Amino acid sequence: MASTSTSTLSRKLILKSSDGEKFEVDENVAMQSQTIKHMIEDLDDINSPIPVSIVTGTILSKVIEYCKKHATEDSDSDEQLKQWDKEYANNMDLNTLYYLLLAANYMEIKGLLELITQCVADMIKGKSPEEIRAHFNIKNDFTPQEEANIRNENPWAFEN
Amino acid sequence: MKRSKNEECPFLRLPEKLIIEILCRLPVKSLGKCKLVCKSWNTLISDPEFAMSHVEFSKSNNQPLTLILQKNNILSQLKFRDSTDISRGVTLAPLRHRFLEDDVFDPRCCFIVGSCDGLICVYVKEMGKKRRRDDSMSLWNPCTTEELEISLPVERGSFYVHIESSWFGCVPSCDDDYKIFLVYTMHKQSHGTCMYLYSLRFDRWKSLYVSDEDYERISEVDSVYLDEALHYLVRRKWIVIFDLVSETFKKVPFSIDEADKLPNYHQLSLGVIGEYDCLCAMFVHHSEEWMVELWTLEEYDDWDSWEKMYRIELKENIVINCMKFLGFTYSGNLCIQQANGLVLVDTDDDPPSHVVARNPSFEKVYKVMDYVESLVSPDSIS
Repeated sequence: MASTSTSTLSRKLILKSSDGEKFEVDENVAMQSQTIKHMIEDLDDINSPIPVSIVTGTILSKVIEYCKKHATEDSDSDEQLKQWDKEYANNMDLNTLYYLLLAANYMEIKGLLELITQCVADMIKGKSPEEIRAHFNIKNDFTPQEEANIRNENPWAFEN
Repeated sequence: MKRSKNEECPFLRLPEKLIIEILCRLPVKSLGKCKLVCKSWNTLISDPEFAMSHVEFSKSNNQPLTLILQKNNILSQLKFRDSTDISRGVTLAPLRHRFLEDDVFDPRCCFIVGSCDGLICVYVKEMGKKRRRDDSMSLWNPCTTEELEISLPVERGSFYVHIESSWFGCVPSCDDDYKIFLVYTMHKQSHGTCMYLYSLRFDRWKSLYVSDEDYERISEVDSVYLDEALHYLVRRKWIVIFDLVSETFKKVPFSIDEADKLPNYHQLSLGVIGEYDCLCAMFVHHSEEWMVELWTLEEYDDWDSWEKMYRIELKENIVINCMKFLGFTYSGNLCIQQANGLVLVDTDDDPPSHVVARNPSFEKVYKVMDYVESLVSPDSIS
């Protein structure tokens, strides 16, 4: 395929997770992260591992999976890519989503950040306060009186 | 049921910036429910700054929702089922307000002066002869039902207010102040036009005087907002511009080469389409066939830089029973009045796709306006 010729031109980088795991990736894959992009610009030796300090190996491998998919151009239609994104996010449990969100934020990967925030927002949408608390395991820290006050002040949110 | 500490929700520990990123993606009603989840979310969502971030996000990421004003004081909100394909259908939901309720003894009419950041500026005309002095105006958030009454600069007894020429919105250069512009004519004098500009922050009306007859004629046409100025196409010959920051008027010629533009057009309307982010002029010919032509002003200060974007013919299946062109929305959809509803046409598709918004109880649609749902409170911005 024509796209392989461009990828052979791409240099390899080594990313090192917070727990010491190393990942060799094409430069164009890593460059989806603005943070890494800026780090490379300041780097003298391209062959030394680039530390991704707050991201564990487990999470970093998932981040790379996302970046690889989005680095290859033209191979998928927008529709196929959207479908891939959806399945990617749906396969994550809450904990993973949380760490992915932090990773996407730290590494400044706009697309991944948008995907995960939208995925979490979709979990909240349409749920009652009780259902949201149960889903995210959030403790209700209101007194019954405070809860009643909020309901009275915002009746529009609770009518059908 | 007790859970061990490491099972606790990690999401509450996220940096506030990320929680805001998530919550900004929620519809207003969901946010109302989220207030009841826990104290930290309640504090965050109740913050006026969050309301602004949320509405900014909605404006830049979703297709604007649309409001329709109908006969008999029915105000409905129209939502697209799919933000990219209008032909997937629309839902109509009536908006409720005490002014919109039928009152046999005190008949009144409700008009929209403008819509901005989820707030609608509503002018209520009392129709009973004795009650004309009781006209009122409010800023209203239909989602949260919050309302702020605005005192009027003049009594309607001797004035006539031109809603279409009037305007409400935010002026960023005036420190994000919200302003209302009202255009009146005096009953007894011919061409006695007077204008008032209201600052929400200072709760003050300022009267503006004009001497040029063309400036006075803005009362006959719709206001079009772009770049902190209102634009009026006067006599199809001039664009009168009112700068909302310097509060001054000027006029520039409206010149599109006769030879190029749609011949025998019936309607011409000025507006702004977000995609082009410039003044747009739409020529519409409607008899048996419907032709629509869109021109855009390429350079704002170069009044000869009008370029033709497209000329299309609308197929019979779209324009069946259509009566009048109402204008176009910020997303570029054409709005056409039908006998008992509204036809919206997306001209980006080839051939144009369309959707009919109809409800048996609704009569003619008179006005269509862009609207976005928000948590913005009229009190917090004043």
